[in-house]
Amino acid sequence: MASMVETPARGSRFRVIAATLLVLCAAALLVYGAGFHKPSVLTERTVQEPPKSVTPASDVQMPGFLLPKASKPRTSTETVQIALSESAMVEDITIGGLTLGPDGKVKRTYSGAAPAVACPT
Amino acid sequence: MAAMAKQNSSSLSARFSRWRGWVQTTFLAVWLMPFVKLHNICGPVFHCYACPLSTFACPIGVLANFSAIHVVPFLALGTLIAGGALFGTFFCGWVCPFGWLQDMLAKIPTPRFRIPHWLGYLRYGVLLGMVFIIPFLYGEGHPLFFCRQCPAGALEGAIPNVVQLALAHQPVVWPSVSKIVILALVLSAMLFTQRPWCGVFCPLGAIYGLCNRVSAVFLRVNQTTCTSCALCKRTCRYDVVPFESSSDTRCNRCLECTRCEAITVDSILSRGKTPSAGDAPTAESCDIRKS
Repeated sequence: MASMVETPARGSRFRVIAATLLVLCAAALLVYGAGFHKPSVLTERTVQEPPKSVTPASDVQMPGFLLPKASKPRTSTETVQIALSESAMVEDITIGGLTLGPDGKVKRTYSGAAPAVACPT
Repeated sequence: MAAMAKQNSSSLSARFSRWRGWVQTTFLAVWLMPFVKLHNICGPVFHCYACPLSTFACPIGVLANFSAIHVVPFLALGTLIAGGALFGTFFCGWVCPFGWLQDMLAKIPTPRFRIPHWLGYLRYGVLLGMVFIIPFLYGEGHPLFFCRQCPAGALEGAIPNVVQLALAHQPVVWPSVSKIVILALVLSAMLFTQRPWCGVFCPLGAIYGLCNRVSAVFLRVNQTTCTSCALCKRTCRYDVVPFESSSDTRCNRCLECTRCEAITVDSILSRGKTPSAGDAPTAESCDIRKS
């Protein structure tokens, strides 16, 4: 019993310090990752162009003549850069939704709603 | 006589260890929730997010994929460091679903072979090479990208997805041959050795194993009660010698060795009486080491 002491041993003290530091480090990583880390991601967005308005030559319409129909709204895609939260990136990763482009920028592999396809591997 | 007394004694952790299989099975309900998808959160265990029932994202898959897109995965790193610093390989022994599968297959009575110690270093090679370096340099398309060869991914993700597509009469996307071959080899190895995946290849086990040396909850060898009877060595299925190194990186913290009362589960929060010479007994006190 003489060898029993009330304070942690030297090895245990190292363990206390190391475990505490690692837990604090992990907490800092989690807080930064969850709250502040928002990498830029290129994503394609569908843009709806406004239909061309058809204006009659004058307010008075000639009877018997039809005005040309308004053209359908056209859609086009444009690439925009968004700041994606890390948790959203983790979710995208699980469906193979992010890839590194040849220009070194992270790109989304889909546009609009996330596909239901799981990991591509 | 002292050794006999210790064999007969049964500490709380030793009694608890008999329920390990049930604890693992219960945790399956956490990792396999069919209607809960929290894929924006990294789980602490090795479980593929491509599994139709998976609840969380696989931390190793996230590390590899983030490495492929050159983004630092703070959330995954934080989760793994927190888990490792608090519990070490308790996750492997008590919580991991792939570990559970290996333990279940280990119940089949077949001849068992020991894995050479040096093969355990392959885990670090897999972690550094297939999870960090190859994805970073060559992207997710490289055949050695970890997820492309992962047997857990094949078992939990690829095969269920093939079945799902076939049942839905949709074109089946077959997984790669190498992935299926690796799965078959790992499953076969599970029948002839204890936890071959954990002991040789698991990158998550490599991280948690390293954390064993500093984890807040750990195994303590009380040298004043240790008589070097080697009961702990005989009960350990992973070829670890707990009374020499209770924080071994290969230890899965299954707590079988706590059948000896000299080994207890302890934490850094316990401020009671502790041995003054660290966790392990001295060489002089261990007859078995001399022999």
